[in-house]
Parts: sequence; C-alpha cells; structure tokens
Amino acid sequence: MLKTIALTITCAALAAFTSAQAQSSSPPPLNDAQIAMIAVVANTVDVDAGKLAADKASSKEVKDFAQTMIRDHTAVNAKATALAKKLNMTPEESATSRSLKADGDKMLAKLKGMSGAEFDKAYVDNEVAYHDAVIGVVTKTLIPNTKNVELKSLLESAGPIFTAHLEHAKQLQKTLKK
Amino acid sequence: MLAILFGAFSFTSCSKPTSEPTSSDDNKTERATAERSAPAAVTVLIRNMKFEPTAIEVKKGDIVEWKNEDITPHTATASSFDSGSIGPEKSWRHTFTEAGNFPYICTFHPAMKAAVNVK
Repeated sequence: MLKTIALTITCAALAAFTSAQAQSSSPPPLNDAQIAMIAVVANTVDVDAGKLAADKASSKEVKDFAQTMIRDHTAVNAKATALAKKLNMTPEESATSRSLKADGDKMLAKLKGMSGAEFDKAYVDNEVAYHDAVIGVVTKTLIPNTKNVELKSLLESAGPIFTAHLEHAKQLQKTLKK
Repeated sequence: MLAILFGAFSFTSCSKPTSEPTSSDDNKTERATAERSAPAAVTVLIRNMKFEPTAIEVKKGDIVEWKNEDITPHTATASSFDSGSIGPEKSWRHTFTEAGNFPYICTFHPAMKAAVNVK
C-alpha cells in the first residue's frame, strides 16, 4: 500500500512534468530559466527527503545512502545556481516546478508519519521511483529543450550521478525486501 | 647518463688497481637500481561516477593520486587506506609501501569499485 502511495505521488509528478508538453493547446515550451528551476526543485526535494532519512532511518545503509543524496544533490544544485548567476538567469517557477515541489512536500509529510523498517522501505521505494522519473524527465524533456550549452552540459553531467543513485537505491531495495 | 658514467669509470679504471673497477661497477649498479626503483606517481581519474582505470599495477613505494573530476565528492577506501571525502577538483595521494592486491570502493557510491595491485 505504501509503495502504491509512493508510486502514485511520483507518477503524478511525472504526469505534471509531461502534461505541460502534451496539452493540445500547445503551451509555450519550457525556457531555460524554467528548466533551471525544475532542476533546482528536483534536487531540493531529494535533499529534503535525504535530511529526513539521515535522521529517521533505522538501517545504517539507508542513512549512508541518504547522506549521499544530500551531498550529491546539494553539489548539483550549487553548480546549477552558480551557472544561473553567471548567465544572469533567474530560475523561473512553472506549473511543473510547483507541482514537483508540492508532490515532494506530500511525500515528506507521509514519511514523517512513519518509523522503523516501514520508514526505511517507503523512503527507499520512493527514491527508486523518484530517480527513475527524474532521469526520464531530464533525458526526454529538459535536455532536448535546453538552449544554453552550459546548462545543457550540466544536465548531461547529472545523468551518470542520478543513474548511480537509482542503482544504489535498487540495491538497497533488494536488501530491505527481506 | 649511464653511458657517460660507464665511459668515466672505464677511463679511470685503466690506471687503477684491479679492486677499483669492482667498486665502480658497484657504484654503477647502485645508481641503476636507484633509478629503476625511483617512485612513480600514477593517476586514477574519478570521472562520471567511475574510477579510471579500475585496475592499476604499481611497484612498492609508488604513489597513486586520485583526481576527482566529478561535481560530487567521492572517496577511495580500502581496509588499509581511506582518502576521506575528496571534493570536486581535489586530489588525494597514497604511497603503497606493501605488496599485495588492494581492492577499494567509493564509500559514498558503493557500486564504484576498483583495485590497486602492488608488486
């Protein structure tokens, strides 16, 4: 049931990502400032979940994973905000970034109500689904629509990081199934 | 360099007692040995969530330098050495004083595995 909730929330976020592009009335495609904001929000959501898990998780492996999420997503965000500053670009909110933030907050609230092995499993299950969704959006929507080459390059360099996170989370999932 | 030394010793050995060439040969051998075993510095790049190369072979006394070219921190951690966090654009060096095979990982990203083989 918890896995279903985690997946439902994440799928809703993914749908929000893609619906902006799929609407028949053709809303304007995302601009670089909006893409930068989506990237920043996506990283921040995972840093926040990581901070909760670093504190609450009962398994050492899950706590260590959470610390890596904090470290890595903070590092990517530092690069993104430094680049935006250099380009005189103010990251811009969009329906997509707001939806992503709202869904992240909902997941956080759900996780706060859990503890022990139940928390560990829900957190890791969500991390698998979340990273899978983010990789898909970055690859299929953000990178192809990014105009600025430096921003595009940063998003491309994030790919192996997020893939490593996904694989790490999947490994953890296997151990928590027991 | 060796050729010059050899030439110099050959010149001096002509008028010296027979024991002299032996000590000059020893000097040549010592110098050659020192040159052969001068510690080398080998670089392992940390790039795109990988150690490059994953397997390296060094001699006792050699130094390995890990250079982090990623935007996230990493570690190079084995039972006998631990870099701690290596930040982006930072490096960490370790001298291998014992022979053996030393598998290591990044403790932040445990799927990152590599090894140093020391002869």
